[in-house]
Amino acid sequence: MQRFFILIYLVSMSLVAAAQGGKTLITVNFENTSFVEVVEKVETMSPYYFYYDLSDIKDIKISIKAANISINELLARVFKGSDIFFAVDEQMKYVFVSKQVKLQTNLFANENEENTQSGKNSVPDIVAVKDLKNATSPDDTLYEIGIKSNDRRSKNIIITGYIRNFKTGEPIVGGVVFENKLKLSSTTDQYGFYTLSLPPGIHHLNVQGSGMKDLIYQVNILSEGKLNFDLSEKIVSLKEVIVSTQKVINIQRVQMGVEGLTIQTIKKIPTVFGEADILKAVLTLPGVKTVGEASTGFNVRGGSADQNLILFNDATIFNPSHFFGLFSAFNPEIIKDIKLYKSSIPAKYGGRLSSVLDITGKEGNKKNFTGSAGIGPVTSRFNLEGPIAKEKTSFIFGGRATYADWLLKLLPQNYKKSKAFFYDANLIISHKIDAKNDLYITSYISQDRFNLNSDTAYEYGNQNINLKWKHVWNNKLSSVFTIGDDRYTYTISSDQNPVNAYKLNFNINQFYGKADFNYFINSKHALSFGLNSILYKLHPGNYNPLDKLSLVKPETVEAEQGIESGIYIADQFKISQKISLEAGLRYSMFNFMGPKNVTTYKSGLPRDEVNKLPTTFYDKGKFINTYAGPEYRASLRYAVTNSFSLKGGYNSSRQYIHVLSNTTAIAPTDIWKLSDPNITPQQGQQLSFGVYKNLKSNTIETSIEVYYKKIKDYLDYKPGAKLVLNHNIETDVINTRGKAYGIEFSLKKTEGKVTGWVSYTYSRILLQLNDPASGTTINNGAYYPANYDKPHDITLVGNFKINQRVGVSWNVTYSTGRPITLPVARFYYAGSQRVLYSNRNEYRVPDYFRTDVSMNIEGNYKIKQKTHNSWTFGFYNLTARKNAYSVYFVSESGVINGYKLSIFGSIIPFVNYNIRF
Amino acid sequence: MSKYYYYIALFFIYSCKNEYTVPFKSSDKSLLVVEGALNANGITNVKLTKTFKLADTAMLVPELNAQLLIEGKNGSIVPMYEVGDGIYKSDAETFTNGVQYRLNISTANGKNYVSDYTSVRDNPDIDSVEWEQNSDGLQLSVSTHNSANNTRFYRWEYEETWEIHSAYYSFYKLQGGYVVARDAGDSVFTCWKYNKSSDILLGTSAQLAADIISEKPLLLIGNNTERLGYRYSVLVRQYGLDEKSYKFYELIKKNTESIGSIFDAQPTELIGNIHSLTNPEEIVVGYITACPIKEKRIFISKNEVPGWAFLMQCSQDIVVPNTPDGFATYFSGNKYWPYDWNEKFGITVISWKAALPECTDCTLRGGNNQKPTYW
Repeated sequence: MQRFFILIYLVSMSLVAAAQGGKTLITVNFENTSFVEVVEKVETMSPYYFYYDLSDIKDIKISIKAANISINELLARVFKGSDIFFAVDEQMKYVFVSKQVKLQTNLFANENEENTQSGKNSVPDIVAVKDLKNATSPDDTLYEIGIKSNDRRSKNIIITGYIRNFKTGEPIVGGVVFENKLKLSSTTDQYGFYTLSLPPGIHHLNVQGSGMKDLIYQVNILSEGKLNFDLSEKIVSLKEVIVSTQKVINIQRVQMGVEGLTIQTIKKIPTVFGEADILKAVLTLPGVKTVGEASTGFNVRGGSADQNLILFNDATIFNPSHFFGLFSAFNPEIIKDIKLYKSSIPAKYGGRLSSVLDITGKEGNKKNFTGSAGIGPVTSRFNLEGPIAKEKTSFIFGGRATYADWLLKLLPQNYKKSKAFFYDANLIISHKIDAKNDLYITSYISQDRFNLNSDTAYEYGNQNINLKWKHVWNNKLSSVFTIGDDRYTYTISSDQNPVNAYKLNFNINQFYGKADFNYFINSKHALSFGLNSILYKLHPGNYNPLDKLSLVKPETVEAEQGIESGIYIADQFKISQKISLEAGLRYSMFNFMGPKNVTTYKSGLPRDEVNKLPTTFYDKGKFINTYAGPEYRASLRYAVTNSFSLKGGYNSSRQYIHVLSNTTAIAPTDIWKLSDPNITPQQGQQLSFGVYKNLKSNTIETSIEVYYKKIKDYLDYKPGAKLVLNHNIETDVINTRGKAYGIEFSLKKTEGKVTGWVSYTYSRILLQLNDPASGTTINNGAYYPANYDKPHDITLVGNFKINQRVGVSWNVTYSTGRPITLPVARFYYAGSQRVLYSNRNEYRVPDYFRTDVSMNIEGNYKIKQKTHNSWTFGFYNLTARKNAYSVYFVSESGVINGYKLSIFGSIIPFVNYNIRF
Repeated sequence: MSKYYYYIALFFIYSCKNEYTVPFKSSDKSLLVVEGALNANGITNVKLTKTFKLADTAMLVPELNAQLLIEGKNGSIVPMYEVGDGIYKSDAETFTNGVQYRLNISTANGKNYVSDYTSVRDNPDIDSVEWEQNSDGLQLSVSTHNSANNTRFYRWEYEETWEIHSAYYSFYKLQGGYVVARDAGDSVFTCWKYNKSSDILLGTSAQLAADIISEKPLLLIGNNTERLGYRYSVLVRQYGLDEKSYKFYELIKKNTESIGSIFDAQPTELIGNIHSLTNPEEIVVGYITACPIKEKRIFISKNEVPGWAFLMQCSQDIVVPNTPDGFATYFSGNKYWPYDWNEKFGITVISWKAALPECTDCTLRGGNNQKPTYW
């Protein structure tokens, strides 16, 4: 039987100062007396007043003899070794007794979650829980917040608190507290913290958290206070009927184009080796596409892969994938949930044009040690979490590694000598200093090494660490301070020919700090503001001989450094019950810094060799040039009804770091580049509109979103550009203009035997370069599709629960093939054979289509058994379509042959057997 | 409480590499390639070829039987004549000052192409073609200048000629299984080899205050190579370009056959100044410019270059008895060729001196035994 204990604390400033009394000592002598009798006695001889649930204590018989002891001592002795907990409020002389659950004697002043049995807890403020009817059903319980006072204010009262996982104590991010009648709601931040303003009186609060059971609480708000909710996980239950809940987040949220997925949902999507994959899950969302089956990154609404900011607990992950992009670099065991902002990007984020993928890691279990380990054919993994100091400090560690050479042996002949290895590890430590201060340390490391064929080895890795300090100033103001360091390195080496064996190195380092504040003014306004700064250091290429035999001349492309800073303020303004506005302003600035030799070009003329002017050297730390500008973020929601809303948004942003991908090579090589005097920042604007309608008691969510985007100064390469080891890359790249537009349809069924979603997207991204002053045009100045323009995209993800033990999942996806510039012919000119290419991106690779199906069979649900087992089996690429992983061309004995490589060119059955004990 | 996961799985993986044929648009199949420049003061040479499929082994597909005209905006028309192999030539002409010219091509399949009208670019004389010995060999370079400062963009081509000698003077040759004496005119001791530039050589003085090209490197003759075994000559041809055509040549220079490695250049689209009148969508590769073409030839002898040593490796000279057995063993299948007698008894040859064929016959090393007129 599920029990929910909710403690409601009320804080009254006036009271904290007012009441204080000396400790009362009690003398008792009971023999086999019921608890109720004991309480009655104690209440008569002392000022204390007891609160308890009768069902908790009705069987308890007490025998105790003691003289002149405090109430704490008395109760500690009475309940020693039992599962009954108690708390004493010395100010109000209240005593709370409960079963199994530790009472949170929070308080605003000092939340002390220590086991209260010891009685060491400091004096709580005011706590009032009144059992009205039957404590077993949260619905029926009225929780009073605050104290009744004569000067009952009619204006709104602010309540704050945390929503947490009842079992693990983990905060629930993106949970919602929702007042149904007044349509007032609050969403928890990444620490599970919410702030809600309500008029005094009785309210029904809906509390929702993804993957958690929804609850409805009846509260009577008397004065300001703190209210924590502990939600329990949705557990497979054989007998209980889960009542359809009121999923209204999508309708009520002001922001649009926000997609959230919990790890539970992600785990249901079939993947190639049956391993949950965050990026693959993101790709099933409307408006998100990938260039190819096994390419790094993803494209959001016509944005390039480098226009996505991928944050893992605020650390920027530059390369989110492993093993040719087949696996995402995130360990599903340590991820709590993900959120993708593709339209309304909150003002606190900046530096990327297209989207923000916010990945939240789990917090370690603060109560118990738990873990899992596994050995798989592709990856082996180990996860452990638990408390370091009980209830205060916890950690979660996750590590994965693979040695997948055997897999590569099965690849086509050309790839037989391939090797691949990767690992990743995460460690997150969270520490609660006190009620107002929390510390979080997140660290992440990943490394990949592979040979695509026998002679060229690719290596890359991410390294991230950050420290966050969350501080609650008061009921209205809270803040988070973060500092961290992100690194990404990339190495290519070749030993094909000992004489020119080389090693080519790239890396990016960024050091950052930020301060984010949330200020809850009243029920109409909630402000967020803050500032942040990133110090970049890029090494765009070090070319060195691999060993002593090699005669390669070392070559280094000069390092680049810069500072990107931003300051922002945003207001969530509830104009009326139906209309809400979220408006933000961000001002960002970028300083390109020395030491650096900077080449300038004659003004107004194309940046090329011809117009080169002498270079100037700038000293270390000297600002070479500065770009700055405002960014606007706004979204408006009009809730027509409870289940129908209209939203509109406008978004503008600036990006100071750019990536150029080598598109002719089999393996993409990314060249990262900071804005500099020659490379202006990219700027993007997006206008979007959406209609959201929930059907059938909110169990079906439908939406249509349309958008139009304009991009300025997107970097594309000039015809014939050399990207690798180019000391003057500005002469080989060009600022293009882009426009992207699209419409996204989405239908999601959240309850019932069949759950899942279907989405269709039509979208285009077109670039143009027709400025004669740039010295060159692409496709004669006409619009051309960007590398990742894939107009049609249909995704069908679903899960059919045949019965409690058997479920079938599927993932069907179709998309237009991506554009490609093909060599179309050869010719002889000026004494050499040459290749004629088509117009830029004139052709497309074949369309992409894939169906994956998996079936999950659970053993049984008996709680008490030694092992729990389950089977998963399925088929990846059920239709065995030979989708193109890459299309490439090779000169072979005087002719040029084109090849299409399909990594999963056939049906791939997989079987997993899991045992847990 | 700990949970342990035991994870057993079975996988089957298949993957494949398939031939990928470019889904050609019909227009891309065989396009006209035009190479050459209008000579404002002399003979114009234009080479017409066609593009061919990526998978073709062809080296060159000439466009034959085309009609070419050099048209002036003033109405002047200069016809060109087919020389063969897709090469077309005009008579020596002098263009009228201030008039723009274009090339008009009518191919045998009835298609008509024209280039844009182009102004005649000034092109100064070549000041000098120099050479300099360095550790890698002999570096050849060109210098020019235009005091009117109006050429600025240059392109060069060169044609090399060098003399080679056989290791052994061949007095005899095999003919129908017999050894016969060579005629004097049949000497294969001295040959001349030819080579044309296969790089696109570009230079510009655009960044400079004056229109001067100083010692622009053209080619490097590697140390002790055959080219300077005896005597060497290079003819340098200079074209004046405008900025647009310079850009075109820059692009085509980047546009080689090299594909697929990370160091290779990104794809290049070649947009020239020649258009099809028959089908405006059709791509034509090439850029027609006009200028007086300037040439300069220099000679370098081995003895001008200190320390230069070229030695042909021909140690395998052998003695072959003048017997059917000796012939069968050594001369069958052109294993060895006789070049002189070794031992004579009176007029009867007892044995022959023989060597590998390429040691006795310079034409087998790619040479031509006809002396060029300028030699």
